[in-house]
Amino acid sequence: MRPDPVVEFWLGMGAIAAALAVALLLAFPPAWMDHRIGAVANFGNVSFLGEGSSVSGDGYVWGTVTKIEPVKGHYRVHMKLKPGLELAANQGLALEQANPLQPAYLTVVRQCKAVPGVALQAGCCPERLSAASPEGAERGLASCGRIPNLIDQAKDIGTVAKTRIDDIGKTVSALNAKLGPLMDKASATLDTSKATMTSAGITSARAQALLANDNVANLSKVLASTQATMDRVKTTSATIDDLLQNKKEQLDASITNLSNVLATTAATMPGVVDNLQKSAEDLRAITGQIRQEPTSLVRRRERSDPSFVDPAPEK
Amino acid sequence: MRRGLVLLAFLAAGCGSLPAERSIRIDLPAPPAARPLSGDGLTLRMLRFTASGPLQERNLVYAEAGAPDDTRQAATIVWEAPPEVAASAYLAAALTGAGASVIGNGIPGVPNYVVSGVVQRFDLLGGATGTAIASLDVSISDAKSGQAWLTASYCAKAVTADRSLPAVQRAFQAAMAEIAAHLVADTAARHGGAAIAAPVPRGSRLSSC
Repeated sequence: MRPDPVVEFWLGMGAIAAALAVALLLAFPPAWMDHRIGAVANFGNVSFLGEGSSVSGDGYVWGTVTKIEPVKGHYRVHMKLKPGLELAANQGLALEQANPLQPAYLTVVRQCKAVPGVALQAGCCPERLSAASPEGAERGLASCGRIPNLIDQAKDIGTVAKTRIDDIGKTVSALNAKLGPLMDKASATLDTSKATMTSAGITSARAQALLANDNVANLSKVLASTQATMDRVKTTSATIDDLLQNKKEQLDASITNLSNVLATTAATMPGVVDNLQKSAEDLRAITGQIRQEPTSLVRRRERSDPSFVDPAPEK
Repeated sequence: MRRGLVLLAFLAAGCGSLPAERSIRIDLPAPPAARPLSGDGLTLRMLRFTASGPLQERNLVYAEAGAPDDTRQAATIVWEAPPEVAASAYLAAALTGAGASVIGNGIPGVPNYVVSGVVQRFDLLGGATGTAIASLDVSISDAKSGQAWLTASYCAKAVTADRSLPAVQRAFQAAMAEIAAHLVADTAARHGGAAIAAPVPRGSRLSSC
C-alpha cells in the first residue's frame, strides 16, 4: 500500500525540524543544559586574552573565558569551567602567552619559592596569589598575574640595564655633590693654615729684628732659618691650594660630563635595542633577497683581449 | 652513430674553450749606481697602494685606439700581482736601491715617514702597437705627526716595441722606472732640505697622460 503523500511530506518536514532543533541545542545549549560552573578571577593585565580563551590545567582544557570586565584598577575575568577543577591553597590561575603571535590563555600554576637571580620556573606563579571574591553563583578563583613571554623578558633586560645605568648616574651625581663641599672645606683649611703660617712668619721676623739689635748672632741665624722654612711651607701651601682649586674645577667638569654621558646612554638604550631588532629583521630580509636573486649581486664584466697585442695561441 | 655524435660534441666543446691565461709582471728595478738617499737615516714605511675599479683586478686594462675612453679588461692577459701591489713593490725597491731604509707593510719597525699611494692609471692604449701608461699619486707623511712631507703625482708613458706580450711588459717597466726616478729625486731633494716647487704633477709627457 502506497503511503499518503501529504503524510509523507509532513513526516519529512518534521524530521528536518527535529534535526535543526537538536543542532541548535548542541550549538547553543540553554542554561539548564549547561552543567559548567561559573568562576571569576582578578587580573591586572589581560593583554591578548579574550572571550573564548581557554582555561587549562595539567594539560587539560577545563573551560573558556566568557567575559572580561574592567573594574577599578584591574579586570574581572569570568569563565565557565567543567566540574572537577579544584585549586589547592597554593595554586591559582595565571595568564600565559607562550607564542606572541597567538592569543593568551589561563593556566593553573602553583606558588613557588622565589630565588633571587634565578628565572621563573615553568608552572610557577609569576606574582603573589590573589584571591577573588565570589560573584553570585560564580566561584572566586585565586590568580597570580601574567607569565612573562619572550618579548616581556627582552623588555625586562633593557629595563634592568637602563635602571642600572640610571643608578650609576645618580651615584656619580651624589658623589659630585658630596665632593664639591669637601673640596671647598679643604680649600678653606688650607687658607687658614696659610694665614697662620704668614702670621708666624711675621712674628719670627719681628723677633729676629729685636734680637739682631742685641747682637745675638747665633740666635738670629736660627730664627732666619726658621723664617725661611716657614716661607717655604707657605709657598708650598699656596701651591697645593692652587692645585686643588684647579683640580676641583677639572674634577667637577669631568664628573658632570660622565654623569651626562651615562644619562644619555640610559636614555638611548631602548632605542638601541629597537634598532638591533630592526637590523636583524633587515638582515633577514636581505638574506632572503640574496637567496632569491643570487645573480643580481654578481658583477659580470665582459672581457676580450686587445686587438693590438698578439693573440693567445690556441691550444 | 651515437658514439660519433658524442665525439663530435666533445670536439666542438674543445674548439670553443678559451685560451689559457698569459701573465705579465713588473720586474723590480736593479739597484742604481747612485744612492742619493743613503747615510741620512731615512726610514720609510711603504703602505700597500690603492686602486679603484678594474685596476683592482689582475686583468690588464686597455683601450682600443678608436675609443680611448672605453676602458676594457683583457680576457687572457693578467698581471701576476694587481697593479696597486706591483706599483708599491716597485717604488719600495727603487727607494731601497737609492739608499733609504724601507719597511714593508706589516713588518715591525719604527719609520720616520710613511709612504702611501693611489694608482690612477695602469693601462695600455691601442694604436699601431700599444702605449703603456702609468699614473700614480704618491704621498709621504711624517710618521709621528701625520703631516704631509711630500705629495706628488707622477705619470709616464712608454710605447711598446712590437705587438708581443714581452714588449708590453717592457713598456710598463720603462714607465714605472721613469716614475721611480722622479720619486727618488724628489725624496732626496726634500730630505736634503730643498723645497720642491709644485711637485704636482711630475713626469715626462704629462700633457697627454
